[in-house]
Amino acid sequence: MAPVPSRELTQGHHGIGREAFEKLLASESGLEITCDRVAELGESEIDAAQRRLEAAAHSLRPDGTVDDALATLESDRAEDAAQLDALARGAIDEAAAFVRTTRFATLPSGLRLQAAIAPRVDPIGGLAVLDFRRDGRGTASDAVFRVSPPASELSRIRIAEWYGALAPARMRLIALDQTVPGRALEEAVRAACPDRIRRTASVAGFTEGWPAYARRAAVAAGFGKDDARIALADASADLVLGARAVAAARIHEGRMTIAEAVNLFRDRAHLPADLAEREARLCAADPLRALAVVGRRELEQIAGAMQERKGSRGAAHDAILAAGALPFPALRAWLD
Amino acid sequence: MHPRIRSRAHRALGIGLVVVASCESRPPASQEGFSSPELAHVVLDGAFHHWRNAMAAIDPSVTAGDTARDAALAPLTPETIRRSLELLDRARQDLERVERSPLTPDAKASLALLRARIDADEADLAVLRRPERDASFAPAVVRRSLRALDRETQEPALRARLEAVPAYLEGSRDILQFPWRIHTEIAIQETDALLADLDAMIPPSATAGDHETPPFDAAVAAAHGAAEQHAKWLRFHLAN
Repeated sequence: MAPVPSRELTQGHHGIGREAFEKLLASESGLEITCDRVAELGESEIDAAQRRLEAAAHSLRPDGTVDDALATLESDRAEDAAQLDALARGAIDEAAAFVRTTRFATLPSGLRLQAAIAPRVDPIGGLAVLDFRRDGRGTASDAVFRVSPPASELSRIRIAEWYGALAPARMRLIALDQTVPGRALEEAVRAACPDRIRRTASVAGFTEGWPAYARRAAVAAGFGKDDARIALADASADLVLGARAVAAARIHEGRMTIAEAVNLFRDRAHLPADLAEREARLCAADPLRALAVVGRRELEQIAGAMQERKGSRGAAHDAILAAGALPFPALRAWLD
Repeated sequence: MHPRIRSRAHRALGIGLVVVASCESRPPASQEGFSSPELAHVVLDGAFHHWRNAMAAIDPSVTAGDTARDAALAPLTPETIRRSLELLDRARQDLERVERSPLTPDAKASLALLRARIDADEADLAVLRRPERDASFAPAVVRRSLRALDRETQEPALRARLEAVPAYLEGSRDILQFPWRIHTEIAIQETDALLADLDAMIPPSATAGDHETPPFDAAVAAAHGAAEQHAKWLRFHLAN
């Protein structure tokens, strides 16, 4: 069992390369999109989210800074795993009720939503992620929203930052993204697709774009209306998505080091140092993290056009989800 | 459906589309697509089987939830990867003919999806060579493939996958070349998470190879031992 020499990706420029990155994104989205375009979309997302962040911060703390407002947002955070569990349960119940009452989309009858505490954080996911299991007949699926409390050996500051990242307003938005109307809804509808190919296969442009689209569309449809904390948390989440697109594109074309990506997440997405480092390293490990912004942009256009044709938001969302997780040109053609 | 077409379809579903791909009425690659939409659909279905077989050999969780197939966790070897790439290439060739055939909108959508998937998976195996360069690939596949099955309803398949874990992880070490350190760090976390998943499946007293231990528990214990060994190897590797 001899050791294998490993290459260091954390210093210098060692991404997968511009050509491989663009080819990967093309396969996973159906779009011919360059590194520069991905980074440009990410920058534009960061700029727009920063403006929304400042407006929401002013609304929450008229006399304070953005950092003061973020501190206020996180001030009512959980303090232990039991409180975190209760927050997660409340968040998925609220998300499901929102989807039903606003007719945002049709919830499959076989979809069972649960929340649970995960003993350890998912190595490649966020602090709260979806664990989805389908029964193979398309009649039932279990969507477990797993939330990870911080390890007890962490410092008090890091534990506080961790719980801050899962503060109630943030948790409510993560639940939209990961359960319904986001990832769990997309998975459950796809699991019931009568076409075997579209039931089994998917592309990441859609599967990563839909949760990001669903969260933003839910907020636009009135989720957390008039709640400055939700507006602040929503803008803050979009800053991270924008930074992921910039970091993934620039790291993999060899124009950004991980250290520079850490600075991007810390300085422009307002993440604490530990979480900024985690985000930067995951962008280096997984180039597809750039796709949420790209996919959301496409889905916003497609859903807008479908809503005009179908006459309601819910009918548009049902039609898009029923198509399966298709490459975007194929999705447009199918919906036409 | 024409009886001849139906017969092809049944053969295709039963033993893979190799039969259809080589049937005498199939046009050579240089010719137009199939004139019959039914035949085009059968070949599309066959391409799907090729893709699924190719990817299930690398990552059985591709078939998660599809009870029609309980893919095994086969050892990860250069030969496995080569065979999967051959199957993907065969699927691509089938799709090139289907693309030139009359298709329903549903079939067109499925074709586009399958084509994109084949492109992405081929790039993953042949260009990025992820199983050979990304140390987090193997423990992540093991975790996903175990979590995809439900012990209550799929215990035999789950036990078979557990029994295959030691050989799978050993094979993954043999093929790893010049991995990136960042993936190795994630691999350590994935392996630790795998150990936690396995801990949750079994009472702590179970021992691999013990005649008193129920076979399922023994399979979990063997997988646990293999994962511990893998975690040690990864940590040693990271330190070097």
